[in-house]
Amino acid sequence: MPQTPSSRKIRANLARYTETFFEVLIKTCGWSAIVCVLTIFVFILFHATPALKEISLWKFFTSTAWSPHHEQYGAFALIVGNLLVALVAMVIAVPLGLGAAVYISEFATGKTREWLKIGIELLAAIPSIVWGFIGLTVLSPIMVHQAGAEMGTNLLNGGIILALMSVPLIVSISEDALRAVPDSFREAGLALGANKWEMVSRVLFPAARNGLLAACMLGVGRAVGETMAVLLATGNTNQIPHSLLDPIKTLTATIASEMGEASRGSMHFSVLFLIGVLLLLITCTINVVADLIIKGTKAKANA
Amino acid sequence: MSSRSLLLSLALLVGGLTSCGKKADGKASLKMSGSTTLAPLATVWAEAYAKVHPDVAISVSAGGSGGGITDLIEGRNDICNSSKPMPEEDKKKVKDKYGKDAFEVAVAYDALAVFVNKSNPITEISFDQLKEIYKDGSTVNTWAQVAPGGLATDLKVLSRETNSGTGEYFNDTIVGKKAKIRAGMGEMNSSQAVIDTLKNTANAIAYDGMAFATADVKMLNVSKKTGEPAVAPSADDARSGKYPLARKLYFYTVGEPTGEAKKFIDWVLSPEGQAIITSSKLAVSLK
Amino acid sequence: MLEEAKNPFGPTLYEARKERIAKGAQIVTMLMAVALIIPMMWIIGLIFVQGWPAMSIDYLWQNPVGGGVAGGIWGPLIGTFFLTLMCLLIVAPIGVLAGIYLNEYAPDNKATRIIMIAVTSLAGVPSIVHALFGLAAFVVAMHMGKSLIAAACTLAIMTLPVIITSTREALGAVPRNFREACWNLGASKWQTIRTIVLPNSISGILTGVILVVSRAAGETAPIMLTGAAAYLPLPNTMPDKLMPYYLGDQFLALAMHLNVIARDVPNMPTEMKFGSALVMLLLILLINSAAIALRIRLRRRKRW
Repeated sequence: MPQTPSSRKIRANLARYTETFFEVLIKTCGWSAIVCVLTIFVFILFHATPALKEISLWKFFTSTAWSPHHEQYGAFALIVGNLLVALVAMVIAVPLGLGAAVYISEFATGKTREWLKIGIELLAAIPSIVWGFIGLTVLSPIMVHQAGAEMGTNLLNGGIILALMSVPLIVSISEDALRAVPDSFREAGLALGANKWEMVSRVLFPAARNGLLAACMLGVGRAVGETMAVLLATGNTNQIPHSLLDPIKTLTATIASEMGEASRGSMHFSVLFLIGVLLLLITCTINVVADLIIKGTKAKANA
Repeated sequence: MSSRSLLLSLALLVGGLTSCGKKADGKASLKMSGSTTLAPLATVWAEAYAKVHPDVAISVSAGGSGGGITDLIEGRNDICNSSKPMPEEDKKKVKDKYGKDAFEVAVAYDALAVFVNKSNPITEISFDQLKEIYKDGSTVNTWAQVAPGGLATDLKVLSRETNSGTGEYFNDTIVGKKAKIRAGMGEMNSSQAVIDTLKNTANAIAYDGMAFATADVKMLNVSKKTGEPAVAPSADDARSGKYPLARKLYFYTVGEPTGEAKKFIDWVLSPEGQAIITSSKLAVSLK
Repeated sequence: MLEEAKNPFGPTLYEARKERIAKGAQIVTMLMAVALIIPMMWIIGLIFVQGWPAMSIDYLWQNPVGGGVAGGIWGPLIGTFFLTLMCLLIVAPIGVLAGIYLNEYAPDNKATRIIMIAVTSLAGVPSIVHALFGLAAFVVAMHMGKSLIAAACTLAIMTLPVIITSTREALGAVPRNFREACWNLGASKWQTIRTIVLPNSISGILTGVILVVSRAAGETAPIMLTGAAAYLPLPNTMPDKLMPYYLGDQFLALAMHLNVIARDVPNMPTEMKFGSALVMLLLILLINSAAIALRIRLRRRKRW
């Protein structure tokens, strides 16, 4: 078909309009992440405001009396429970994760590395409800019969499960951080006579320090925010534990188990959203700080 | 690769849109939600009813009695399953919103059993003893205080979660209406969790519906006062009132039930529906 | 002294000790790496052994009976399928386009940094907070009620960062000279993306899609508050059996089913419990293995 000047012009215009249309569409989608985060904050905050206005925040943070039936909303033991189980998880997960990352990144070769990485990735894929199920049905009897615990679902049980859940995250980000250290560092270290382990501990760790720190922080974020696994595995007892084998209750489990019962518009409902605000603040802060640390490292490395 | 992925995405799109287009197909729907104690029984009823009346689709969710009551007030369900009587303030909310009273139908009895681990030698317990254990500020911390001569270990007290219908009934009956209860109890958020924990914890005491009993746990005989003869939990004794920890399980509707809800509730109350309670062993029938 | 006289070129005591530490460190870290794989294999093995007796074609094809005590898991299985399908239909277009924006169009300024921070924050939001948001925004504010569509939207928001990150990485792997060559030939930005960049990164994007499916299929908390039911009457006749759910109604899902039978169903036979856990585990592992295989194939096929 012969191309007349007018038809060429129409096609050119059409192409330009399609192009602009797609560019606008793409730009809008680009902002979707921000829109989502802001909307989440707005909605959760909105439903938490009645609680913010009515209940005593001082009691919320310091009292351990959590009894919505009697209008008592002391969340101290819940907060402590959440933080403790994350702490126990990190004590297990950080050394294991860093060690595994070092092995995969520096010592393992070829097929071994491939298979280890696949294994870690599959570990990361296991859903949280399955982990909770494991804690409830498998770890719990072990706790009782082998560790002599009173209740099989307790702090240690939840901590182990959370550790296994956050380790893949720590491993993959630590591994990225170690990989990001330029080979020249390694070569320099070896050239100066260090053996492999000395090179790792004295050259790589300091160089990748920020990335490793960020990895641990992201692991903490994951552990603090986990819901289903702790719901099934920690025993749901609102108390400050005296030992590792005591059951505890976390903020996340509180929301999950009590949401079904709270009537819409009641103070209980609003307080549960308040807990949501608290969780959101904690996890977002951890993630943003970790992200800034990683970005800081990248900027230094590129400079 | 690109034409294949295009085909794949087209197939997904078609699949998605077809499921989109499928709206109500003319079946009457009946939504029930609420108590976790009633949910298994309601499910069995719904399945049996579907065989007799295949034109009605009954759905059951369980979020707790409180959740069911909320759903009823919000108009999100047709029948509310509740293992506790609806509180006055909620009844008022229904009246305010709909102009009709909440209609209460007792559909079954439930014997609440006191459970202990199989290894515990104790066989009976009284209301007074239970009150001592479960009340706020309780000083009962060892088994010796409850049943001298039996277990010599500490006492591990388990309860149901703060807003469970089962928990509320137990607290109201044993400790007192809206009274404060013992702090630091192990709150089990489901009946299954109670049984699982009891299986593994030798010094625990807990309560839950008799239907959840398994061979791994032991039920205690209960007496109203120490010294009175203790009654074992059983269907007949629960019905007659001889077993003191028997409660009713309720259906609530907004105003008198009509249409499909009425037909279903009538069927549940009929000998057919009640026979299912007995055969499923999930609760105690009314007669 | 004597040792050094024996072999003046051999290691000194000090060096020998350092070598032992180095070797020790290698073994210790290897054990740590293995220590992670072992629990996973043990868990999978355990679930397999306890759940296998319940598995059969019947188990997969029948709907649950008596709340899950008998029968099969077809209802939850097909529910999870449709749930993830709807979630994908919502999140894939938005996520891929957002990834394209971030990698191709976004200027290197503060605004872009904020977007990146937002993506990271969104990824870190706890699943129960997503559930609360879904309840507040989709179930209540947008009047979707507790339904399949509300749950799908909630899961879409939750998995958005996954697909944005995967798309960005996939696009970033396409070398810059490809794009430059296109521009030199007179193509516009969108034309370049459409004809060269996207087709070359489709495997990476597909990996992201598969990861979204895995995440959406495995989450319980978000769907618990936004529409998953404990029991639904399900048609047992074809073709209704293949598509038993409506967008605006409640549904069954594998994750929720596992949650319910682990906690609320009395007298649940152990092998049924483990059977459901097994099906869920196998499903997720299968999906993720597909993603991993795709990624390996992508690496081998790279023509640059």
